[in-house]
Amino acid sequence: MKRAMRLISTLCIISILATLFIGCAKEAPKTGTDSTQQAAADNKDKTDKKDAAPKNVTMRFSWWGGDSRHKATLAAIEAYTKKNPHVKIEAEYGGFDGYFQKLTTQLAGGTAPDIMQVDQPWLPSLTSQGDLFVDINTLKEIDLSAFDKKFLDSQLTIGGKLQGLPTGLIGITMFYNKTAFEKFGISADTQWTFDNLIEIGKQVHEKDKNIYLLNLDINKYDWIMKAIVKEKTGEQWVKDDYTLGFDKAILVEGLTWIKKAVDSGAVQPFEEMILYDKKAETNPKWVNGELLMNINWPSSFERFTESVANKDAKWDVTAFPISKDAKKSGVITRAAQVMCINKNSANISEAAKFINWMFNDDEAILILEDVRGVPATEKARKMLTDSKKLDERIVRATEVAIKNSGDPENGPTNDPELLEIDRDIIQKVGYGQLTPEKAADELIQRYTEKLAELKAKK
Amino acid sequence: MKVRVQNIIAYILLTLLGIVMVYPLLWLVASSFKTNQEIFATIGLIPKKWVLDSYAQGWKGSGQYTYTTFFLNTFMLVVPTVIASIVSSVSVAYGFARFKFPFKKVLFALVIATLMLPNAIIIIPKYILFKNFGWLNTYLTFWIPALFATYSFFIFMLVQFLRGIPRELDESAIIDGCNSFTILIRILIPLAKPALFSVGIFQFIWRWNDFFNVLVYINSVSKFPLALALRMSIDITDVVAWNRLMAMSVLTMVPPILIFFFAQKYFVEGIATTGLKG
Repeated sequence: MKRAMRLISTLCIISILATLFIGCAKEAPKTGTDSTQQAAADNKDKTDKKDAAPKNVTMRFSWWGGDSRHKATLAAIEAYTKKNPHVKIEAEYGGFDGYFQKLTTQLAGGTAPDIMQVDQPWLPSLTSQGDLFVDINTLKEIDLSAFDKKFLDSQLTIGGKLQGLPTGLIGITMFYNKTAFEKFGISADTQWTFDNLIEIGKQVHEKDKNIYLLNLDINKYDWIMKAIVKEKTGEQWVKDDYTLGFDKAILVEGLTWIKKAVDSGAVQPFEEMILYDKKAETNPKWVNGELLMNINWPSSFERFTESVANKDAKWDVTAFPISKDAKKSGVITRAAQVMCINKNSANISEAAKFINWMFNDDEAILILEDVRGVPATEKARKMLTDSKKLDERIVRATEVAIKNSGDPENGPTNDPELLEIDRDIIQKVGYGQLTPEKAADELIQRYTEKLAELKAKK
Repeated sequence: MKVRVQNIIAYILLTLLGIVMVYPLLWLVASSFKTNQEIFATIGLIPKKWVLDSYAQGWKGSGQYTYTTFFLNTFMLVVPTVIASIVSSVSVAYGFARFKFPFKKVLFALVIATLMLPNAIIIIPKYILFKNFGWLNTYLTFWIPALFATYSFFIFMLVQFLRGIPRELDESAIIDGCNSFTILIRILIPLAKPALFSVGIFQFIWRWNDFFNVLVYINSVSKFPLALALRMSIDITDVVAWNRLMAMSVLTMVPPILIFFFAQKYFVEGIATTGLKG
């Protein structure tokens, strides 16, 4: 009797648990976004729109950034929703750390926001995983006339589809401490080449042992090494067919630059620099004004100059070096970030309207200013320079960089695993563990293996 | 005499080591009163120019929400998770430590196996599961797993502790008329207090500091806990107000430190006696 009771009660508990779980599973689509159903409803809504009042929509918009970007973007969202009371925009923002991991998880899980801020180097690998973003060309809500068509085609169009819109244009530039330059007798008009960076750096360091001309971290060494190589070859670093765009002799030249820069005292020794890798603005020597130049995106200008203790120092921006006999410029220019619309979004049309407003409306331009870099449209650039919202030095530097820009980097070149190999090799040369020749051999060997692997995966 | 000299040397060395260990913490506190430039320029503690408003300014946060929201969110996330973990882990551990049932060994091996499984591997399946349940962007993603005793480390710890309590106590309790539930409540839990405190403290500090899981599961800024809030304004291009960030980091550390100090007595006892056979 007792045993039977126990059996019955066990069965009861199991059935309760089972219904509980089934109940949850059924409920899920309601709370999550059931894309197909809602998309269909939305399409229907589009056709009826003329006679019906706009349907209430809630959209999610995610971005990364710092305080000023958060504040400006939230203000923009508020301004837009005030004008369009049927739209509600949920802001999802945070710092750069972990943003990519979160985005990929959301894209894989089908829970990505309607509007996403994406970094341009991610686009090739993201789009190779599936059709994730709406082709902007197909949206009649967005006015593309203000954008540079060539730039959109070459940098943001993948597989014939315009994946997103650039929030700004950035090209590599160099910031320099004008006050210190005067002290050392370096002309502000110097036409920088990779060779005179080292020559002048050597002279500066000989005059004062505490001072180095350049504040570089490993990423910047990578840019320079690749620029030297690409200017000689006129090719991509890694070609589209996953073969190397250079041979050993040219690579040795690029690596030799690193060795020379370290040996001559143009840059801080690796042992000291490496502590501030990826956060070069916190390097105490930089803060104390003992490093005179930094190579970086113009959007970092304020961050770098703000962190210097001496507030009287004057700063300016100049162009990234180009060798005289360059076949093609090695300056990288790209979209600061890309605004993409989720292909599975239920509110594509409303999202497109909001993006159009963000990029083309006068009010939005004045609210957003330069929080996402120098704007990509000429209209916005002009409006902001006229109202003194843009730093004239940065606009000038960006325009020079874009004028001198090389080919946009292709997908294989930006592969994160290859970048890791670069970092390794650059450190081995920087610490003097390998000669440039030996390092070139190792890099080519490891690249060949990794490229074969990447190609097989494709 | 010789012993005394040795003692003094030992104390001096320990004090020096102690200072070295505590220095980063002191630096953090001191930095919250420095200007942005000074933070990275010197490693001294006394600010040249005192910044006094970093706590007030930092508390305001960077957008719609202040740190009041973020602190409340963190407690909302952490406290139920800790309580649920203690309740669920102790009942599962009791089962493994005191009862005979079919496949016990296999099941226990499974529990230990999940202990070995890195979080990164199960994050995507978990994400999809939670999505289908409709739990994303809620704290259910933390509460419910804790309620189902998914933290196998705690189960393991408690099983070891319970095994150390003599079975004779259970038997005498049965003679006194206890059933298996009252044995747990009246006999074992009071004895296992140190171990339970350890579970609580560990879980509190881990959930308090957890960044990755909240990053993946929580979307709305209105639901952000401190771990996400603190990193909200660190970006690669923007100017970071480091002193405000340091100030908020100091405040964020306060609750775990308080918990640790208040429960330290039990905590140390719990660690020291786990695994001892009675």
